[in-house]
Amino acid sequence: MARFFILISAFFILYFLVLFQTGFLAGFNIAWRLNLVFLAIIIFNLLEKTQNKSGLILTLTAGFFLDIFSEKFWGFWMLVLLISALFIKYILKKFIGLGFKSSRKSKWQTFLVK
Amino acid sequence: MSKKLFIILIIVALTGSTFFFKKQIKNFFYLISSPTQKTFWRWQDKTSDFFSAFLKTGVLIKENEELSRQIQQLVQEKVSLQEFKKENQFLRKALDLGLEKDFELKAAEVIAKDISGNLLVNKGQNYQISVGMPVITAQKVLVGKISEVYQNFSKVVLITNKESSFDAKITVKDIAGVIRGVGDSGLIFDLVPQDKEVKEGDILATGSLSGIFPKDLLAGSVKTARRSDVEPFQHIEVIPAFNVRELERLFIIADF
Repeated sequence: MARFFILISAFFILYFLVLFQTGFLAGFNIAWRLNLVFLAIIIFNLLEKTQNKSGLILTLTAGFFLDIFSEKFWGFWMLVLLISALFIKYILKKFIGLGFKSSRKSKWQTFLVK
Repeated sequence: MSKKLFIILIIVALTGSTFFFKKQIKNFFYLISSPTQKTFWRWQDKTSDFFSAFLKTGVLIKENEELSRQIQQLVQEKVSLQEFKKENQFLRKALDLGLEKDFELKAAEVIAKDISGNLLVNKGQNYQISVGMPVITAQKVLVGKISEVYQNFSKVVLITNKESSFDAKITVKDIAGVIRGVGDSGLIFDLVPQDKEVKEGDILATGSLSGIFPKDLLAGSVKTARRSDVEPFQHIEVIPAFNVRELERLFIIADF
């Protein structure tokens, strides 16, 4: 249940980040180039356990929000983010000794995922 | 495994089905987001002004002096032009010529700037907006044109966009060429022969050849003009006449 609420909160945070990026940061020449949503998805997938799938659902949702506010073809950002998330999960699985072993889970990971 | 595959197929089907309703979906999200985005857009203007005040004090003082000098020059020119205007009106009346009609304008507010650099404004199909309509500021400065129309919103592609180009001329010297967007708020004035005299500060306005925009709309001013013996045309960089951060209210030209 807690995980469900965390996911819902994450959806709203992602939506807020998109609005912030296209409304506030868009006016700054350098700052608006940063895709905050992309960064957030990368960080979330890095912190999540490799076998969990909620990161992928979040990734698709984030891509959906970015597609709404983008001129690229529909599905572009969903595809880009999904490939990035899957790539991150693959790298983590292969190189699991880089600090994401369950015995060395961070407090954040313990709180966020089961 | 089959359950996983089934879930994946459902997700792919749902995602694919949104393609057929993308305009309606976009319009819905723009509608619910527009109050928040409008607020963010106003904040960024104030924030960038706040930081600019600290970082650009020296530049601002110099710019202020230059602008004061230009205002004085323009006031003098205006006085002399008033006489020409009276004479022009008298002659038109005498020759029974129709005066140019004003544009049919529709006011719109900027909501946000999307990831691709296009502006989102709060007028759409509900105000008979259509693709291709020019967009200007209150001072008749050319900003761009409508690229996509939704029920309640429209996208404006700026003249600085890489895919944007239109014919233009340097007003006082009658030098014609083509303005192309290069992205990042930059413009290039292309196809100007090497023998033409172009100077920094020359004003550019839209021409009447292509018919994309009404003529004599202010487009920008020359930043640098470089001649080369090995190229057929000069390399002229242009500063757009608008600052995208300060755009709040625009006008869509519905008929020209």
